[in-house]
Amino acid sequence: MSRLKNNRAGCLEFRKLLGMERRSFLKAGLLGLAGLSLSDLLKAESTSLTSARAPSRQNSVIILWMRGGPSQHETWDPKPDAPIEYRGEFGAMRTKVPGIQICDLLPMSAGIMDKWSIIRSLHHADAGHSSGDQICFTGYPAAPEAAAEGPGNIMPSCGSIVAHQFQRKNPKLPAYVVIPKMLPGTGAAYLGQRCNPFETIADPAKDGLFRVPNFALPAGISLQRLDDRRALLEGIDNLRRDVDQAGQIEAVDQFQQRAWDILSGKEAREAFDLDAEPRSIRERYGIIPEFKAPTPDRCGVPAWSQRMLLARRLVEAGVRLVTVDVRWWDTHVQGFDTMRNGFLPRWDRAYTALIEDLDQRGLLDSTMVIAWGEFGRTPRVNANAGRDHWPNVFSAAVAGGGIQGGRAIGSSDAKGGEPDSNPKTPQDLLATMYRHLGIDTTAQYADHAGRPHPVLPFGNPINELFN
Amino acid sequence: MFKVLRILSLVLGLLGQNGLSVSRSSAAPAQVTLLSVDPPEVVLTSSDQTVQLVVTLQMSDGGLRDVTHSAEYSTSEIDPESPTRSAIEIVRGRVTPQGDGEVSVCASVFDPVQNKKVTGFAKVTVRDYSQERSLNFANDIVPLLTKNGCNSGGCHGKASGQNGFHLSLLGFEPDFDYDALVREGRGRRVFPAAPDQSLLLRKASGQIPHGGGQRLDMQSDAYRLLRRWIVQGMPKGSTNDPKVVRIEVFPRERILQGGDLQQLRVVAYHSDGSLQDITRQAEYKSQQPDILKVDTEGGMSSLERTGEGAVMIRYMGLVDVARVTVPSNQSLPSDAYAHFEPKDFIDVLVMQKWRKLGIAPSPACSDEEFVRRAFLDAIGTLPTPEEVRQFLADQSPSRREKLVDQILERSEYASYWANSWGDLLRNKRRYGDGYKRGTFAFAAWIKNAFAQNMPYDQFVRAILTAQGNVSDNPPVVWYREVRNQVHQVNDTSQLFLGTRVACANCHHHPYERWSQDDYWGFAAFYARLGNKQGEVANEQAIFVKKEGETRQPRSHKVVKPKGLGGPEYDYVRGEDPRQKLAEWMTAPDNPYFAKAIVNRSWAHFMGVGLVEAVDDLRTTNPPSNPQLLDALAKDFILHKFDLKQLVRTIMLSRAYALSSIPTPYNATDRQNYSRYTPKRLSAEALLDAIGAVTGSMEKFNGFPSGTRALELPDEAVNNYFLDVFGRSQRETPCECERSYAPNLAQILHLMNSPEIQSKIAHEKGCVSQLLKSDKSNNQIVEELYLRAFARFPRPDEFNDAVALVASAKDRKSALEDFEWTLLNAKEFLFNH
Repeated sequence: MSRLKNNRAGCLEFRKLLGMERRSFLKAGLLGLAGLSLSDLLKAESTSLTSARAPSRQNSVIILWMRGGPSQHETWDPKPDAPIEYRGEFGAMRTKVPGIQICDLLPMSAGIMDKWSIIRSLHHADAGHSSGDQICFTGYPAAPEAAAEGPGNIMPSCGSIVAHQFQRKNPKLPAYVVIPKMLPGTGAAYLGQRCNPFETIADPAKDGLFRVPNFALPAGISLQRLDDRRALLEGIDNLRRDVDQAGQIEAVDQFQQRAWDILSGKEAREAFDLDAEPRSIRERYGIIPEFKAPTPDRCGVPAWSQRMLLARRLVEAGVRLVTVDVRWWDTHVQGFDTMRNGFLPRWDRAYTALIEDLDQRGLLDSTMVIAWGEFGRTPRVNANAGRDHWPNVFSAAVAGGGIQGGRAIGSSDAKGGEPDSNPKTPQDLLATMYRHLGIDTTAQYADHAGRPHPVLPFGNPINELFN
Repeated sequence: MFKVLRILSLVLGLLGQNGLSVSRSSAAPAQVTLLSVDPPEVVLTSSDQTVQLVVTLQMSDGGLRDVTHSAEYSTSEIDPESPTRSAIEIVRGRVTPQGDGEVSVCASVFDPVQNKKVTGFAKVTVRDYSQERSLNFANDIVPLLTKNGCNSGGCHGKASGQNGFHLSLLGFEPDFDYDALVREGRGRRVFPAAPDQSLLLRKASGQIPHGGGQRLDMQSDAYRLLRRWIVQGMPKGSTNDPKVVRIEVFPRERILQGGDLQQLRVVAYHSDGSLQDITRQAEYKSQQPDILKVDTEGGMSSLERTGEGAVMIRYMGLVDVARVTVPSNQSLPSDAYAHFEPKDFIDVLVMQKWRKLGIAPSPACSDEEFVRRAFLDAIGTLPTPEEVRQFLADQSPSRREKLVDQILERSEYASYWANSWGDLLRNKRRYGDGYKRGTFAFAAWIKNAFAQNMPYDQFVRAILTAQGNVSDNPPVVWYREVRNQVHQVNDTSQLFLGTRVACANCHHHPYERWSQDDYWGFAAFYARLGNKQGEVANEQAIFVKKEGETRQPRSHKVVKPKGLGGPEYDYVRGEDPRQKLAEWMTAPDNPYFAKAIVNRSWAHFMGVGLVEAVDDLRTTNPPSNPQLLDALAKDFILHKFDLKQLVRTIMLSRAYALSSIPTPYNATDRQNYSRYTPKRLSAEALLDAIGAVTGSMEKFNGFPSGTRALELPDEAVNNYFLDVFGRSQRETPCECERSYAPNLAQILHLMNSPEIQSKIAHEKGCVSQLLKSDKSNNQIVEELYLRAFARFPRPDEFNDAVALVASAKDRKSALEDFEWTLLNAKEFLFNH
């Protein structure tokens, strides 16, 4: 049964059938109005397939997860006209796009404002870190007993939905990767362990060589020796495959082949080979050491700039959803100092590097980059020169994936405390992302009690980002 | 050589097939003995009603064959005075009235064997055709919304509705739906003055954009009925109008050959005694889509796979099931069962089923296969080479009985089952080390219960009725995760009764008879549960309040404690209603309790539950072998809920001891136990097995060395291997939370991790020890095979392996490589 989706040209199956990218499809849709039939469209598609042009890239998503909850005031929604106790210590600066101002400590971001957009009216109602994480990754209210660390989510993460739907399409690479380790909200829940993210474990933020566990051969084992072992295995591994109707034994065979491809071949290892990036690129993202928390009640900033670079390598290689941990924006105490000296310079450099890098490689159209955290921060500065948790309104930055840059969607009120116009939910942003990936948000999955749940309980793609 | 064999087997196969068809054609082909039309007589009292006839051939061989779609139909007016135009029209057995009259329907088919036409008759009467019936919203309109998916959980039925239009899920609250359609939406949804302009019709028929697409054709009966309801001014109907009390499908059970069709007919019985054909209005769902499919009008067809399937039929919160058996279409050799002599009731009942399906069991497994299988299934532990040798040396006829008895007395039995029950009882150190006193105590209690072989009814009762402090009564830890009435109902029902009632928390269960009253009646057993600060920080003590009642959240009425389909109990001041719950659950006549646990155990050993999923027992998900489930439950109760006895019974059946290798006579079977179902070792068992083979056990932080993975008390002990191989995170009471699915990270870890390599190359490990010993290459190879596969190498394997070790320049590397190979072989990773 084909279902028309709201605000969309054609049903999902139809677009899949055509395998077209959004823009060309819209064009075709207009032609359709002018009398082009379906068979014409199919003909057009087959022609384009046989032409020399490379087939269109599969769409990907990078989530820059600003765990802790970045302050809207000190990032993308400054309130220069608000009283000082709301405005905070920083000012606002003009950007390349007339009418949009952002925090004056993000000059590089301001310089490419035409490449990215801001949603300023996001809101939900949960001020807990882990529960906010779960809302933004799953689209569902959090489990009441969210874990402080580890996934802890009871509904599948958007990445796990991606893994469930796309892993089979490209078995050579994991469809869903988290850099470096799983965060609250990023687990597969009832979709099962196979839909958990591939964790790099190795952290690009750390000094030294970047080594994903088990990708490189253990000490003392050469590729030749592994190959010998593999040949030996073929001789010994005689259990008949037809004893298992469930297909698990065969699946192990396939994974062994895949593991061998990874270890002996290039595709996956190259994707994860951060050390192959030239120095100039690495510097463009920023090689800025960790900002250590000066006192235990403040938060530090890991040197996550290079994690963003790894994310680019992964989507370039064909990973479909990469979640990058860029924590830990929980600026309760001396927030302005932490932002000024910790987060903002690192962010400004790395974020703009990522956007430009994707753009220069022709990947920006197929890669949607979503930067956000689990909530915003209190409009009023607290007694410790910081701000506290505030889910009532917060901002997200979106780039790529066919969106128009230079937009500010929705707004918060004069103090940056509540949505003022065009309020949006995290589910709306997730719906935008799912549409980009071609995932039907009404598809249902059964949980461990057999209850079916749609991919998203509600939410509509944010079309204002596109048209 | 191989090729020749293959060709030979092909030729033999062909010969076999020829022989088969000869023997078939030599038997007299079945002829039709009777053609029956159901129902033989029917009265239609309005133009909306239709009736589905089902035409069945009875064959001379006793078989029944449905010809509803292929029969020819002719009609003749019984009363010659009636108008010339026929009162009815028949298409594929569906009778649609066209006017008043009495008609004799003749259905016929041509029987090629007798070379003649066979006929049967039914009488159809149509009355009051032109009299417009006043429609009833709940009876006429709601089912139509349900059947067309309008009120499904993905659309307007979900809690938030869809684009401002919200219906009750699956139409369980007609009053709510009536208001939503008639009163909300500023009256635009229905528009009696110009019915075709109603938003309801325009959206549903796709005339204007509709998120759900076109659901109704404008020419369909459903569209016309909706339109007529609007024209009539949206009657809600009287509360005195008859209600549907029961639905019934015909036929309830059939044997179909692969590819056969069977038309179903469904009838609703009303509170006033009247009945109505609802074949077209009911919803159908195949429970085994690999065996059976069903269309939206009750046309069911079997696919090529042999087995049993069921179609669930749902209408207005009522359910029924049609069951189908698809026997194998090949004839069995006369000695197909010769090697299988039933030993106990399990064998008798599985064999009955095989005979019914025309499949035959694989040969019995060897003693080598049995010893590994029994160890891994019963205690999650590989036998040592010495244990294998001992068992294989025992030639007594009762050696398997002895082995099973020995295994069940080992301490690993308690560890293994405590590990598994720790998952199901969600013994979880959720908030860090402050909670580990509790999880450790509960884990020890569970382990002790299995070590003592505590009767299962007592085990469950102790958990359900736990109160006090952790140190006095460790099962109170269960209430840490299962901490409110919703969790308590869901966990109790799913875990101990094998019945999932969670849906009925908020609305009537969509596939079962459970209502919200049932759900909250069950919750009422926990009405008086209280918790307070326990004896140490981070710990809670459970106490029972003197009073307390539960209210159903929708009706706000107090509900009395009531078991699912069981008796209702009064609240008595000072009494703990949980005692009544435990009494009801563990009573020998409880319809779920024993079945749930025997099905769970059976599935553990046999790989597939009699009911799948193991905790989803319900009318609409019938067991594949109901007699066997009943017999196992009866036997379990007879033995006073003795879990070890249950395990022993299963393991000593011949059915358990079949080879996993398929034969031509059971190749497609996966639910009838005609061969053993292999399964991957659990995360913990596999890690322990790798430790046992390599001689280098995993070390767990905070535990004495030598602690096995299966002995870990909770889920919080940090270990990458266990995570990646899918140990349970203990978030739900579902067995399915533990994952056996292979993935890339697992295989990379096995093939290429420093951790595994360091075990293989460990200086005190197996390879080092063997090198230091004075064992010959022959002995070493044998030892390694016994360690990993619990069997001696076959001659070709033996020669290859010995040659490899003997010819190696570096003997240590060669043995390491060889051990690596064993660990990565499917024969090691799977219990088979």
